[in-house]
Amino acid sequence: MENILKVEGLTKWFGKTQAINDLSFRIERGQVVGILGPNGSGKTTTLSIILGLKYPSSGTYRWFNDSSTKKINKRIGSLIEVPFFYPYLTLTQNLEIVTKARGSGFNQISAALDTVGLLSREKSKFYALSLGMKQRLAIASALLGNTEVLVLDEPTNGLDPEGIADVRNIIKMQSQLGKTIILASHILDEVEKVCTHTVILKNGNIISKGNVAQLLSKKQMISISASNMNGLLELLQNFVGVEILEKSEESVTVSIKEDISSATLNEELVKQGVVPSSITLHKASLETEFLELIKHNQPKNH
Amino acid sequence: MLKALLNIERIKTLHSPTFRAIIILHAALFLLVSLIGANLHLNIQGITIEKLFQFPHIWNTIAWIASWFNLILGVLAIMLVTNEFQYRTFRKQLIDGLSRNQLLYGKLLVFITISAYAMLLVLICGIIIGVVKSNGNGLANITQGLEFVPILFLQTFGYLMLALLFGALFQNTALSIVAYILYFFPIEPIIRTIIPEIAAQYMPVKVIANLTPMPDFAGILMGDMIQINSGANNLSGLITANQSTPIFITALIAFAYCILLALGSKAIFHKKNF
Repeated sequence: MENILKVEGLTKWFGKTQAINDLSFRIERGQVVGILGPNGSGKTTTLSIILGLKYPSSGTYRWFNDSSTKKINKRIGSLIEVPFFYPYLTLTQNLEIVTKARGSGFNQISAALDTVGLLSREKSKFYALSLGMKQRLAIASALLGNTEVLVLDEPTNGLDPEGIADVRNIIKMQSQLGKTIILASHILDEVEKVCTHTVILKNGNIISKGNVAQLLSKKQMISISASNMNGLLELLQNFVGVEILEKSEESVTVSIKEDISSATLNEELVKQGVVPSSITLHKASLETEFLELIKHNQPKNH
Repeated sequence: MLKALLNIERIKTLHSPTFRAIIILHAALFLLVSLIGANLHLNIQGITIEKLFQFPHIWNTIAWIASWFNLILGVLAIMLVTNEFQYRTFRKQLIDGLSRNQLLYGKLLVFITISAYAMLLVLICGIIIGVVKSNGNGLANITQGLEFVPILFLQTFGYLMLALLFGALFQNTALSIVAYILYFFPIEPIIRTIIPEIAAQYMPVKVIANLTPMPDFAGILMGDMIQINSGANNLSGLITANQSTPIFITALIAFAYCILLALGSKAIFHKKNF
């Protein structure tokens, strides 16, 4: 597949603080990549560098296999952090500036505003919009022009549940149109619903990267109940490949490695004298996996 | 791309309430002072100042009056630049595909337009007041001293370029305005007292301010105006009343300063993390 973005050894220092450290990853055409990480993990810094807003301290990035950075941004629609527009201009005037900068047609503005549900407010001044509407306008701005890539940093910030669902649909629609999407978000449920790949950051380092389906298939989650809960807990604590995630008086939730099946676990528990009264298999979620990675993983060198 | 930059700047500048308010304030103050000055009937021992508002002296007089208000345009320029940092719209336009150079060129286009506006205002005002006050006399001299009009353009542009540098450097509106005004009075005047006089007369504000010198009241009123005595319409021969450097040379140095200030701003734009 065609490389859309290749990042190699990207490092950024702000004074004595290292924001990102030796990041390397590749994004291919058509992928929807979620960049995840807790606050301060380096997501926005990474996106700012690859969009040319900040200079890296070291390392390189290359868009579209092209070493020249000129005119690259015209092929990329972006929303970084909060929406930045002229407060005294109307929505149409603000988007007109974007179309002039991109060299795209003025006639796309109405369609973009319609896509994000703001067409009826086209004559409103930017300052008169709610936070959610401003966010929608920023998404409309990213959709303008003949962009091949969308870079969205926290696109659901300030949106109500309906707005979040709308953004998810927009992302899916754009992905179906063949656009490559890079999405940084805290809302892992959203990322799981739309992303094909993830890059997970912690303290400026990559701690995991790859296909979402593969990441989630590595582990399974099981809730187990038994009449002898103390015995069950003791056995599970000593079981290799099993990690206790949550325990209550009625049940214990564990994650088990992909090479252990729930049947094997049941068999072993019975052999050891604890008969489970119920075993419930849960689908692993990106949120659980993410939290576990953040909790346990030390940065990996890639 | 020049057309696109012009359109971008037209949309964001012409709709800016700050821009509208300051331009109206500038025009109103300039017109008010010019009209009051033109209608003053001071008569001291038979000498009146009316001659200052007749051709050909009107051009020096009105350019000098206009130069008082260049600082207002400088403050406007700072606000136009720092607002972009405050709204983070420079960042947005970089994301949208403009280059750092294009951000700067956009502002240069705005500043050229503002300087042209100042020049046009002086030209129109000068013609109207000159025609009214000359009463048909001296209309033959209408073009004499007209050089002060394009020189005012250069001076205004110089003020705006200095404002651009301060705005890009500090990015904060209040800080930039304070630093800009402090540089005019008293930072550069103090520096000029410290350094040798030969160097002091080539300091940027000194050079730019000297482009529109105070009219030689005494010389004009006593029929001894230096410009007339030099007998020349050509710019190189024109020597202003309170400086010894020919104005053509001063204009060249001011132009060189404009280029230096643009390069300084360009370096800041290129070095900055947006």
